[in-house]
Amino acid sequence: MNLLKLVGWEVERVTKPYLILISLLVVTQFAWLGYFLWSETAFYEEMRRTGTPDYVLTFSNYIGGTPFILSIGFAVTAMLMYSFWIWYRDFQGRGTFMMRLLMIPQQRMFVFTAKLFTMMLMVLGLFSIQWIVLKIEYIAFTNWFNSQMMPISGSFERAISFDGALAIMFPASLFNFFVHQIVIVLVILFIFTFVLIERSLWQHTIWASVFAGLKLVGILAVPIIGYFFIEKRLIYDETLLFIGGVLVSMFFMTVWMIRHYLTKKLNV
Amino acid sequence: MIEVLGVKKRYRKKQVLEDVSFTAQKGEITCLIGLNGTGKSTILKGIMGLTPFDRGTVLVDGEPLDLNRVAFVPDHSTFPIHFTIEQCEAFMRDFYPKFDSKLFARLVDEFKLFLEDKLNELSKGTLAKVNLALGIAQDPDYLLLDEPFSGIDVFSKEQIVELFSSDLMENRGVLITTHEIDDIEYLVDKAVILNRGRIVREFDVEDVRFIHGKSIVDVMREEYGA
Repeated sequence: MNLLKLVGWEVERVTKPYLILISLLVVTQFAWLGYFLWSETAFYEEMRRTGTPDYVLTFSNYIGGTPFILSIGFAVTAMLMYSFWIWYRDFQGRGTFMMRLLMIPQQRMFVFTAKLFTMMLMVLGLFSIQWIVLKIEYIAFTNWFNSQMMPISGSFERAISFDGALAIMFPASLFNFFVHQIVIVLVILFIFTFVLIERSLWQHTIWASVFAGLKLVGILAVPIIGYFFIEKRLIYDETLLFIGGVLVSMFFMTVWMIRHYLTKKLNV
Repeated sequence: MIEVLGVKKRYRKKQVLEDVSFTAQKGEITCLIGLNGTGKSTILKGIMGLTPFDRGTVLVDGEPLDLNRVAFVPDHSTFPIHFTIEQCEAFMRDFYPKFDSKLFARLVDEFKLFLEDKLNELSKGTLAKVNLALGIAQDPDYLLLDEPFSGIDVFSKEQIVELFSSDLMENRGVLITTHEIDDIEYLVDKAVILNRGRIVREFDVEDVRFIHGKSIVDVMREEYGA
């Protein structure tokens, strides 16, 4: 099936940079862990020599460190950038590969679906690897400090739930996980929509990207403004329903726009 | 038959195509002629839906465009430049259901191409031959060729011209844009002259040649007042 082949093709194209990104993430975090263990042990020893140490380490101390936050931030930024690049790279140069993709005798939406699948595989891949790495880091963290007889407290789950980015990546419930994934898909869909509107209008106006941005801001603004008007009249369940409805409508609206621009308007 | 009916296209403030209509028959070579910037490539890309027309219709044998039946060969590669010819073929084999690997192998042999060569290492002439081979191997009913002779040497040109009169082009409709009209003058059945986005003349080349004793370039001179 062409869709699966296209997904395989897209995945193959991103494998090398993706592995580099993941390696950077893992190396940075483990390097930071090594430094953290060494410096905290040295600090604790120093305190023990000078008096009674009265502070307890938690895993949050490690994951709250700048290098750890930066490593996650860098990976997320790279993913966001790639959501643009996954399209724009096919428009690069005179020999645009997009031309070849659009001439494949198949539904053009397969091109979009393959790119969306690839992005989601990358996101879920990052989450899974980060989860495994975090578990290993936690084991190293507890084993090291236990072996040094240094006091530690707090569980792995507690540390994760207190960290903003990690709480989004690894929420406490499966329901929340799905909700977060839907929001991530929506972010990617918004980026895709932006690119496709811009690539459809670039031959008509130099303001193509501004126009594309305004269109998306408009779509986002309507429910947000609407929410402020009705916020006080809604009970909790109704608010949830409203947010759910908005997410679903945005999903269908962006997919509709992507279909419209990709099949009828895109200029290569 | 490819029917282009009343198409219009605007790039920013420039009207590139203004109510263009013509047909290209199966089994014939139709040549789109015009000076630079008259919209020839835009028409080919528009037919393929790569730069959709603002208005107008394209029909292939009375039906909307079917990409299994029409192949477009642009004057540049449509693959990443680090690709080898072999990788291009593999891609075509995977995604283009009608792609004929045996036909491609035959063309590779005739054009003396090397499958392991990378596209960015090829001369313009060789690249043109690769593009053409990939296009013909799709076994289309209609082949759209955009400037296949642009910037290529005389021997490569000869090879490509020979191909037009070979059995490989039998029963295929060819719509070609070129500035090198002299090279294919005797192969072209029909010519369509474009000027400033409008068709100024559409004629049977043989009629003009035998009845009026004129070549395509002579007709072009008349139209452009050159």
